Amino acid sequence: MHGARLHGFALLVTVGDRSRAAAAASAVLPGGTARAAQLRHPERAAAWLRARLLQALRHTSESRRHSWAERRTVLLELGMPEAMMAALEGLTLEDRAAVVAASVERFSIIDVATILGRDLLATRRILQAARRRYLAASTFWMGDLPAKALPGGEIAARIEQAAARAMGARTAEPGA
Amino acid sequence: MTRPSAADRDDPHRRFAAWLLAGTDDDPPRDLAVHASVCRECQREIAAFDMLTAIDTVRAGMPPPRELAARRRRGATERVAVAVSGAAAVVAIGVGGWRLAEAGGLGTASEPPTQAVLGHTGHPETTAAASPSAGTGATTEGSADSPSPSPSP
Repeated sequence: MHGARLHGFALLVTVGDRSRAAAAASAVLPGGTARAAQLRHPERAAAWLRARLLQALRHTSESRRHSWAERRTVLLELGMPEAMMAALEGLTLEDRAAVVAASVERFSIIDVATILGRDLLATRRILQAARRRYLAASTFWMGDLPAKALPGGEIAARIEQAAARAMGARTAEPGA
Repeated sequence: MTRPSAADRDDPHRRFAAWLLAGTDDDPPRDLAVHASVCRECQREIAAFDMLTAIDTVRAGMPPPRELAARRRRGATERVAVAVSGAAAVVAIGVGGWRLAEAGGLGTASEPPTQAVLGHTGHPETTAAASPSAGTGATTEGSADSPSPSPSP
């Protein structure tokens, strides 16, 4: 499970660069196995592996072996809508790592800090800026983005529930 | 950095975007939740982040261990090369030895060590039973295959 998730993280952070992602993930995984006893907590272990992966990726450049069509296929297999790819591609490696770790893999801010190798304050700043850039890029690239939030989407469900509670309270008030 | 104006602070789009970007686990204020549930712009922003949560990284599967495989292949190639070299050396020695034995250069294993070393030339009986021409014959035979035997003391 760790290996597959780590590979998926690498593919997202490299925007579908299959050979670069596989090389980095393959290089990092044996180190995690060697430190398995020290990395008992699954989320800490996952964050540690991603931190090592990000370090490895910082020392490699984008491979030019894969066409955009190949990268697109890789990302579509992971369930990433095509419009999102361009938005992610416009971000830096660190920004992508922050957005993917926090929004895709749902790591806590402490684990995102471990992944980025920053303190908590800096991580919050980087994450917020990365999310803002992602949002700006997505609204730029996604003219055909659904005007209605995704049905079953996590944030959409939270908003609907909060709105329903608010509306219920509002309708209950006059009768109270 | 400029401070947001009162209009910006009251703008529900901006306030909702700020809540969304913060990525907090707390629900938004009620008025914002009601606004976002009907606002097209805010709904798009919600969709942009909800699409990220729909991605499943496990689908990537395990990385193909190309580097490790390449290393293993290199190691296997080296082992095969060593094994082939060793086998070739053994075969060469065997064939060489067999040819040498065929040519009479080496004695058989059943013969005494002295005969093997001297290649029939140093056998005392051969010298003793030699005909009058044996001296020249022995010398000729000895000179063909090996250095002339030194007389034993």
